[in-house]
Amino acid sequence: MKNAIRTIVFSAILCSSTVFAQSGSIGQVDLKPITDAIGSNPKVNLNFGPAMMKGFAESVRGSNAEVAGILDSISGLRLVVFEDVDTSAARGRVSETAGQLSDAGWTPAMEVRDDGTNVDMYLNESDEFVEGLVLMVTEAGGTAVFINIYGNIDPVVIGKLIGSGNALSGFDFNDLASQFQSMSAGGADDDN
Amino acid sequence: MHKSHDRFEIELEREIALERARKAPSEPELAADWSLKQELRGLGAAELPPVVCARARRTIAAEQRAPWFMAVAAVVVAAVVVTLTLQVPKTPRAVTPSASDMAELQLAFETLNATGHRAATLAGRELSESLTVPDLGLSELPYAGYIRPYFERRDRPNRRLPDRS
Repeated sequence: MKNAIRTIVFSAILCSSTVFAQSGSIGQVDLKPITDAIGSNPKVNLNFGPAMMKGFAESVRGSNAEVAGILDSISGLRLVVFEDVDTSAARGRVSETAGQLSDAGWTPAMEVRDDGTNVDMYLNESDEFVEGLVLMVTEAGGTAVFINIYGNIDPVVIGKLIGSGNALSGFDFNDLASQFQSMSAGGADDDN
Repeated sequence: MHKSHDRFEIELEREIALERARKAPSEPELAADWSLKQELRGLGAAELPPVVCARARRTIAAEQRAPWFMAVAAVVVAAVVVTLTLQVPKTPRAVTPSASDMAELQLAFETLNATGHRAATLAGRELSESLTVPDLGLSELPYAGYIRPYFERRDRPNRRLPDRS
């Protein structure tokens, strides 16, 4: 009787701990410690979650299925850009984060130290996909860029991003933005 | 139907009375039956072969444990099902983005592209500076002065092949 109860309790604890361990996206990284270390407001601070990325994918599916597929594969995107800040304050925290990512099994894909510019890029890869990308750039001139994208991203997209600087080739955002604006204006006219 | 049932009942009662009787009944047939039962009772139970005995014990033990094992197995299966259900990624409901959201996404991708490209350029530059250019022996070729510009690295204006022409 006691053994049975012990077994049940143990199973329940084991299963629940597994659930909690698996929750959250594998490639998602908390950039807050780094941004806090800089101690000023970022120039750009974007944070798109799964629902928003799905919304973007659905919005462009009619006009460009390929780009919709790429956006579908991205579960979340975080971008923080600082300008005219003392980047040396963040470099210690960047090194710390890089160490933590390395310990957690991320691949240090790129590390550049060039004339006061530091580049650190880490990838979290599965057999088929890049599940997370963290790109941290700090320049002595005062610019710092921190990017984290996660999901089940095709490595080809990452290759395009790094190689040619054009991850979403063949897609005109301006066209889509103007379509949205006209739709919004139409909606406003209808309201009037 | 009733008659046969009554007869069965009567026979059963007689049988029980015969088993419980301490003395042999007066009826000869019943007395013989009674004495046979007494003798059989005195013989005691025969020993079962060890293999059969062990199997019987295992069967009894399994029968006794079966409900608990089934309960534990059911709980484990239920826990696995719940775990798998919770692990299935919940499809987020798509949010309809506005024009400004789209502009923000554009900015994000432009920044991502520009930063990625810059990082790659820096890495490439560092890498090329670390590599030594092999001496192909161009200076030995006739009309080397005409060929040389095509092989010279434009990013290294100071580095020139020795002019032997």
